[in-house]
Amino acid sequence: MSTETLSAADILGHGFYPERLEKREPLLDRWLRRPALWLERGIGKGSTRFERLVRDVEAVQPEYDAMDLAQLRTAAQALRPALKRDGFTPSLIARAFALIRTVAGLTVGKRHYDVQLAGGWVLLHGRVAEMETGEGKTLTATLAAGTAALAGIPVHVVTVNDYLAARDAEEMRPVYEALGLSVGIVTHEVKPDDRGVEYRKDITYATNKDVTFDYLRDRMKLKGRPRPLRYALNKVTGGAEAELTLRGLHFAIVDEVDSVLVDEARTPLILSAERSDGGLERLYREALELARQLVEGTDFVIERHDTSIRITDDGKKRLETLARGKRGVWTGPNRREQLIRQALTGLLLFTRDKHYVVSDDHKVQIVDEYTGRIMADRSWEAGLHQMIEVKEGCPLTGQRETIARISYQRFFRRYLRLSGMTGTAAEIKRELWDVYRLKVTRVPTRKDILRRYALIEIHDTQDAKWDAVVRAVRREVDAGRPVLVGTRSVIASETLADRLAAAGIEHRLLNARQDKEEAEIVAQGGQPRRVTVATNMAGRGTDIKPTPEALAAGGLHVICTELHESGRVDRQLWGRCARQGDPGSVETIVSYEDELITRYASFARPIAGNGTALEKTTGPALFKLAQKRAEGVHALMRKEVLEMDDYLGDLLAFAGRPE
Amino acid sequence: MSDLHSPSWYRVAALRPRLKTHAEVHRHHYRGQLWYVLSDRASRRLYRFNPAAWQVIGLLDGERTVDDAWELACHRLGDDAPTQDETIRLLGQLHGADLLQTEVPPDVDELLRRSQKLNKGKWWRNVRNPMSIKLPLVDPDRLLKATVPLYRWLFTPAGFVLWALLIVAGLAVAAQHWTDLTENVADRILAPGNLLGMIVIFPLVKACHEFGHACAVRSKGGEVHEMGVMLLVFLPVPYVDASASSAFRSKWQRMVVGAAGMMVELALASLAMFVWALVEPGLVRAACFNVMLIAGISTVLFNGNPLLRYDGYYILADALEIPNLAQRAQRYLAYLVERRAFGVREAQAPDASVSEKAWFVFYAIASFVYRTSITFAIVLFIATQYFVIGVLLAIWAGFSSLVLPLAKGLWHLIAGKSLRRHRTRALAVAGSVFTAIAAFAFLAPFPLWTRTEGVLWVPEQAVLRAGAEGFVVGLAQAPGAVVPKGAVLMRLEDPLLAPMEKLEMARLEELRLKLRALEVGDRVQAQIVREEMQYTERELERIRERLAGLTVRSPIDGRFVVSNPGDLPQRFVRKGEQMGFVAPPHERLVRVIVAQDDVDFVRSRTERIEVKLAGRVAHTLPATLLREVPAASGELPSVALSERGGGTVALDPRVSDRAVAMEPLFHFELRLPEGAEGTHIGARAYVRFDHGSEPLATQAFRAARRLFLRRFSL
Repeated sequence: MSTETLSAADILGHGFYPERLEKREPLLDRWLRRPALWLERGIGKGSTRFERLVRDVEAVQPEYDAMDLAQLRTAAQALRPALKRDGFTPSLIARAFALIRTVAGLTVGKRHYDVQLAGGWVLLHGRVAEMETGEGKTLTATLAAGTAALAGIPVHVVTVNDYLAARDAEEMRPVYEALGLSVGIVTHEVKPDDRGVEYRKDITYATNKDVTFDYLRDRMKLKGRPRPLRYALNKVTGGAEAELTLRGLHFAIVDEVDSVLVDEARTPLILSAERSDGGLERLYREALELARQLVEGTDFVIERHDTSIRITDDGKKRLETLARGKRGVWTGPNRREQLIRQALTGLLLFTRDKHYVVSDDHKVQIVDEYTGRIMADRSWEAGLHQMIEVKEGCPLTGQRETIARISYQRFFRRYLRLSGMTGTAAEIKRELWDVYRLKVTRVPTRKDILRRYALIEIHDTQDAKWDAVVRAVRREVDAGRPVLVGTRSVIASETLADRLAAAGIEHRLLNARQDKEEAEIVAQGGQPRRVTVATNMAGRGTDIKPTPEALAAGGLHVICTELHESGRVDRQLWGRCARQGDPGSVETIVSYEDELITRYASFARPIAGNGTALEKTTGPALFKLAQKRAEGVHALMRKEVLEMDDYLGDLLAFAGRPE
Repeated sequence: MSDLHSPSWYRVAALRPRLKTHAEVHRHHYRGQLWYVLSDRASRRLYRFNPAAWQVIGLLDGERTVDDAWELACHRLGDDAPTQDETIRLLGQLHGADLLQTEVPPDVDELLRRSQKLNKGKWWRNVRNPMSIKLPLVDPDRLLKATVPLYRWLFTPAGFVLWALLIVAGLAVAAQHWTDLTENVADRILAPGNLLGMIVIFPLVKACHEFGHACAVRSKGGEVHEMGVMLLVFLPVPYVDASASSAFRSKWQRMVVGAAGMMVELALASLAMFVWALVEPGLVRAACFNVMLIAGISTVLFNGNPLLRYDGYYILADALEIPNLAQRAQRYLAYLVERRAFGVREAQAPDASVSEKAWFVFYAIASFVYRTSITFAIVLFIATQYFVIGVLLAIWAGFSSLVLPLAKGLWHLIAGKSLRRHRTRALAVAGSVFTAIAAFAFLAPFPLWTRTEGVLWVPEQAVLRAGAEGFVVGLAQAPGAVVPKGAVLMRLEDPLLAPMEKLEMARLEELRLKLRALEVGDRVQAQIVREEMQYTERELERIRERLAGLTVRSPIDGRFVVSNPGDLPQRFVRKGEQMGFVAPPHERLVRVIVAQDDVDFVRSRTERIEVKLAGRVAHTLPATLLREVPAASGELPSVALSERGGGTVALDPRVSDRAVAMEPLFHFELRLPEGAEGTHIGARAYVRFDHGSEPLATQAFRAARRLFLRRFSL
């Protein structure tokens, strides 16, 4: 193990509401630091680090294995002062890990494997542990979370959704409680007033969104950067309304770190308050009406790449004539065109059941493109949400007014110590380092992976693709295996469901609309001959356990029906099968009409998919190219968000720093 | 076009900012449009705002919130109102200029960062531009203010008339002494003693110049708070901060401030002219000459030139009512490239009218070309004087005016933010432009030749020379006639020769008789006579030879050419004097001279030779290289090639009797084809050695190398 000894106090921070201060790194510094990334060694099975860690843990293991739960609890409490005093020395880490391992074995029946110890070590040292899907990240996190909590550090285990937060917390609660540590859960359902209690627990499981919003609210109460005196003064004078929710940003273990820190980093989180607005509905209605009269191609152009609308000069002229006689905003070309652009965006770029769903009580709800989950209380920016509400004939929610906003990129950098786990981090290594100063360390797998991959199958049309998917499902069902079919959107999942039904294949549908039954569907997904059709939400964290009978038939078979813009999301889906040494297989059936191709590689389509013998090579290459371009575009957007943050920070320096 | 609403609006909406009190506002008109100029008296910087932006700023009184002010502005201005983003930027800009006061404590980090950036920027400017480093020294405002009554009258119409009279008088005197003034200017300027004088006088003249600006500003009520020394090419030159004039409302006043420096200098030049004309040669006169040179000529060439960033530029910008002409021109050109060539559709078009845009394009290109060439001219000039400094300067100038901008452009292409969505196209366009230029320079063949002069020449054996001295009796053949070899062409007469022959013959006869008499008897005497006979025979032979030499025969088949047949009869010619020649029907030669630089090329790479003869320039004759006349020599085949004879070669003044060039020259003989007849020998021939073609880059490289080698005599 490395000689670096972590002082617990470094992570505990000092004083009131500790957090890392933002420091801007000049470009040159960032570049000069990059080589540090190349020097990073792994913690592979043969490495000295790994060997020493395992040896140290094994050395003290018998001592703890001999104890019962009560003794273990005492031992854990006895370890706390040493951890607080000496920090995370190798011997103390070994003791804490051994202890937690024993406790986990006794309470939840899962002892940590050696590779999980390695994972725990990586997390404790503030890095990203890249662990193969299905290697038990939840259990791994307990090592780092437990050890840090024993040292008195408040730990946030951050997950991507409420379901995972609750599931992980409940699953591991016995372990922590046996150690004498308390566990808090913050999900969407927990009321703001009750959250403070949960955050004051030793270890808090929360979703990324909740913890960020809670932090933003705290900042609002603090009126800017935490200053104890001012806060106290405000409290005395009645300026601060309530107690702070968080205790500061100490240590976060982010599950699915690539999803949280990279994929979602683009959208800033906005704390908003509703504002009443009179007469806006009429305005939006007029805008939609006018927008519908414009012709695509002549009056406006859709920029496929960054999904924006550009009104052409012809369109501007046409608008001028259309708007003649109207009053108010319609008289000025700039405002008029902006409204129309927004209307067109709402009409054409946002599709029902793909980007959003309309709930039974007539509410427009945003669907997260990555996970397929409904994001209940999110709304699109200024006017767009209302425009879509008008488009769908829903009652207008009040326009929301921003109070504060922060991006994940900025938020997570404020943790004194940040670490993460994911199955897929290779592609974003550099970004994690540049943005978060996070190193990625690969953790070896316990057993060899038995996943089999079929060659990618490319069809010319969507229709042909779905037929092929149905055939493939039937083939696997006949073989007695459970099948998981991943689709990209809610619409796609429903299309497939219809086709499967027409073919007489029994299946369960798991998408944003059925998320209540998620746990139950997942639990049954491992039955033989069971077909589960799911949106991307069945990616991260979903643990479908094939029954022994299903395993005998070859394990779970995953069919990927559309490649995602990010290869990592695809790999997450593949990772649903062949977990922890089980058998399993992956099949990818796509078509040239998929959005990925039409948006990012349509220009190369005639070259690649021409039906010749070469297509075997060029077809898959085309998809690779499209994914690469898509990822490039997204990486750029993230970078822009960050730069915009910095730019605005400077520009708005006169306004102080509220968030 | 940005959105009306900004997602960051919430940060500023509730603020109640207002302008700090030390900001002054002026209303200006530029090209018929109203602008508000905000001058910060503390930092002496100016900010221009259009009325829409000003509306918002004006509404911010510390009582209203930003949101209220913006709404109000929107209500008043409709579509002209700035968007929220623009308003935020406006406020940010004001804050960046330290002109905004809010009730919120400002972000200290940002303040610190900004001041560091400012200092770093200053430092970098000096490093990047070591040829002009500014050192502020004094605040002359109090002095200027106290002395206003002394000079205020100068900046009145009467003052101007007076000034104009002075200049006219100066010019008149200069015209009178024009020849004296301009004689040998280059030598006089560059003489070491004079250079020293210039170095002393230059800063003094420039100090007067700067005081001209300062007084002009002060007389119109502006304040001048900074005066100092700028190290321009390591030469201390005074400067003054006259930026207060930008706040003047009338563009004429601003222009007067800009022109004041030059006007002072011109006045100085006029005064110096008078003194120069009055005094005897000596130190004072030399000083006056220098003052005239600096104040009269350099001021017009440099300060008055709007393409450089000196006074002329500011005057032009004010006259055109386009403030920041240079920067905006550059920005506009950059925009044009991004928008038109790279297809950056979202590029923000600079706010400018059509005529302004035309000015931008013109100015950006003209000033760039001019500035680059003058930089290199200066560097080259210095380099020839001081080798090491010159080379260092050249490297630096090349770096800062060529490499750096290119590298910046390249970096922008690779990593520039505005090109993000258009990088492929931008790279493709830039790449193809670059490739096209490179291909043009490195591949496109361009004719390569050496041009020189020569004279028409005949082979030595074709020259008709007098075999003996004598008077020309007459021509046996008409000039221009075709004659066979051996034909008699001319006869000479030497009246003494015939009697001499007779005499010698008689003598010989006498000796022969004498010998016969002595042969039998006195053998010794006989031997003496025999020897005497031999001598006389030889003498006779020589006389006969000379007689034969009087008949000029054609040495070869050809055409008989005499340059001036009318002059010949009764002319006395010396032996060996050239009288004419027989032009061989198939052979005409040109003797050319080639400079040392070109000789290697002429020798090894001549593909074709073209000759044009003087008098028949429309005709191009092909020629072949016959031989190289060995060894370089400065001697010219004909005076016609020298500068004295109307040619191009400079003669060595130390040799007066012959035509000897300053530099070594190589001689070549070319053979002309038939058809060159009719021109006289010795006629000038323009020769072009065609070396085939070569790409421009290679040619330029060779030329540069040659220049370098020669300049630095390596």
